[in-house]
Amino acid sequence: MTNIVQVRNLLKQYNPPSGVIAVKDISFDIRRGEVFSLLGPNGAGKTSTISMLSCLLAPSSGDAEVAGHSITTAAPLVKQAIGVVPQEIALYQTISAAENLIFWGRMYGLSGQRLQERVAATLAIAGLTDRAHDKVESFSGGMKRRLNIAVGLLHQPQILYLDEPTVGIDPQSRRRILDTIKTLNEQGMTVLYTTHYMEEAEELSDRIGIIDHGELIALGALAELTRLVGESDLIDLDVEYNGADQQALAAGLQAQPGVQRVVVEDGRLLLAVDQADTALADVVVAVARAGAHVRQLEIREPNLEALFLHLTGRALRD
Amino acid sequence: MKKPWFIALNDTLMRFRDRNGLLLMLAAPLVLAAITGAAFGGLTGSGSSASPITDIPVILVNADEGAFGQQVVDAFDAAELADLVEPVAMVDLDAARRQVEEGAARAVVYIPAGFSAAVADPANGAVLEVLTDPTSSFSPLIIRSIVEQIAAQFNTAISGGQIAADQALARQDVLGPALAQLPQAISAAVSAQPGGRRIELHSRSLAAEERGGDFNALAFFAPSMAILFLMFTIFEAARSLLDEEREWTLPRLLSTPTRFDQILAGKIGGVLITGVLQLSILILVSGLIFGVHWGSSWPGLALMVLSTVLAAASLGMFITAMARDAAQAGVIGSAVALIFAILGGNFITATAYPAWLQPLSKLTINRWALDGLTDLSLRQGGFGDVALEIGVLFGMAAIFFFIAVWRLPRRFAH
Ligand SMILES: Nc1ncnc2c1ncn2[C@@H]1O[C@H](COP(=O)(O)OP(=O)(O)O)[C@@H](O)[C@H]1O
Ligand SMILES: [Mg+2]
Repeated sequence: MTNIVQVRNLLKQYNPPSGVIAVKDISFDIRRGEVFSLLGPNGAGKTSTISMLSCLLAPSSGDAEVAGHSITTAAPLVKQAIGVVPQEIALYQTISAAENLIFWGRMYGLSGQRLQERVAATLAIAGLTDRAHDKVESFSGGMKRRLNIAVGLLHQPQILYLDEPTVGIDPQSRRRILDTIKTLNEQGMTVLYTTHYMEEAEELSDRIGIIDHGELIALGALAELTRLVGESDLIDLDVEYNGADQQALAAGLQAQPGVQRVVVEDGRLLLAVDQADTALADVVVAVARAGAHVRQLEIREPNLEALFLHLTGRALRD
Repeated sequence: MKKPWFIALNDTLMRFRDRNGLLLMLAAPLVLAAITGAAFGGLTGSGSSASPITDIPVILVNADEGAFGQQVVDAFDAAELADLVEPVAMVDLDAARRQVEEGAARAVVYIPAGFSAAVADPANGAVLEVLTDPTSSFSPLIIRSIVEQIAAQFNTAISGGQIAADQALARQDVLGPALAQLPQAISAAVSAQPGGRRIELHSRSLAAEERGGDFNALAFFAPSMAILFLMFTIFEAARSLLDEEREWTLPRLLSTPTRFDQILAGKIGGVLITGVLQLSILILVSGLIFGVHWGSSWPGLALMVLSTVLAAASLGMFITAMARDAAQAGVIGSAVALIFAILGGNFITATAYPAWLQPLSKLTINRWALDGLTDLSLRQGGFGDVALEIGVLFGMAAIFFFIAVWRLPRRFAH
């Protein structure tokens, strides 16, 4: 079997019948050995999806199979097959890293020699061997994140779920975590990764599902997805308005030939254009004619941000 | 399954390693018991020298057939000792000793057979024995001192020195005129025997395991503070399910192949182990440093500890099951612990409450736990004295436990 996860028409409505529909009838597969990312802004439904696939949250309808077991009828078998790294630090702060790993290892059913080996191995993966006997509360945010991941690896799961594992940490720690995930994947681990950072999804993923308002709006490898945007480039304008009307300027730019879409983001204007070098001059002139001027400008190659913009009319940002 | 055990163990270890937790669990109740014990000691009995000491129950066992034994007995009946001691005559030494062990009397003064003959015969040593209750602080000293005085008077008479009689007169303010007369009475009966054998006083405190009780303020405040702080600790421990929900370790536990009922069993186990350890340590330490003696029945004490902890733990789990979140459970828990402590008589003995408060008081775990534990610590009761309390506490535990265990899985279901 090449698919380790098969999601079929999964739907979650909180507090039915009137509550939020956080996940709207989504279907996708995850292949054995790949890194699959769910990319979407806050509130898109990433955590709700991962919680259902962890058997922590019952779906309102639909089902999924993980490692050949249904999440609705075979939860214990699913849980044995998966390693879950929650979005929040879920550790006992007043005991040491090693004591945490021993405890969580026992919860995964490990004991004796194998438990000792796995604790040592995951401490090494997290780079915490030297700090094994220090209390977790004395750790930096990055160290806690790494230990949080190590717990999910204890029982050598068939698939590792990571829910936004790099939120709120410094760049070095993030780098380290991304490298760890790549190494794990090279050693054969299948990974389900959620993030709202486009660069992370681009760097790590074999395939990416873009999720917004509970819907899977695009799915494929990075190259396939960027091809969806067509040949469009992205022009990111930082505009000094000098009293000019932002909406009117945006509408004016939208009317320019070669401009596919214009999105207003705070002070910035994001333009998806056929080709940046041909459109650029017209765009800058149009801005000047409206009485404003361009303070700064950036041209970006086709990427997931452009795709998200293309599909939703909104920017994918923090 | 071993998982509940590991969860319980992990919880217990974390709790006993937490310095602030230990302060609340063990140090606070002991310090408070010591302070309140000292403050109330003067009002309640022998805990303080400032208190008036009256009517000390003492048993006289006179096995002597002669006149001197009777004189010792008469000395105790002297008018000036009437307020101080309450002498009772008994024949059976073992029965008398048992009275002291059971706390009905503070001391036994034993006049052995042949005492008179021994006094009259300088070749023989005469002996007076005093057996005292080690849990009382002052009364044994007083009894011993009275007997010492009596022995001294005999000795004075035996050595026949007039000076000694003067000394006895000088002591009149301490012992009263009747005792001061004793040497004269004795010299009338015995011819002076300079260098003769003196009366020896054999005084001993009954061994710790057979000692009886005196009203010791600490014997009230040690169990009372232990119960109050047991409630605080146990409610906090029971609340940890909500804390773990907030701190994400509960969702993580649920993402491992561990069932909710295993987690619940582990959490409840942790609460029980913590409670039993806490109460046992408090009982042990108050015995060692305050000299509180916890009754005459090991099974009675053990079951009191177990039933009290079970009842408090079940109430804690019940609060956890009903509360919206950890913060609300904390507020409710503190309020319940304090209201129960006041109603149950942890601060002022509930027996002093007006009649209309009594039924309310008897609805609290604290009242039954305190009644039972003080039956042991204060009144040196046995198993029969605490059986009712144990039964009521187990009953309360069962009610709260079943509601909590029915409600908790629903409370945490997603
Ligand atoms: N327990 C809950 N009860 C009600 N609504 C929720 C709950 N959890 C999440 N939601 C809502 O569901 C939507 C998706 O949330 P979530 O899955 O956490 O998104 P993401 O992880 O992508 O940020 C959001 O609108 C959020 O407010
Ligand atoms: Mg999330």
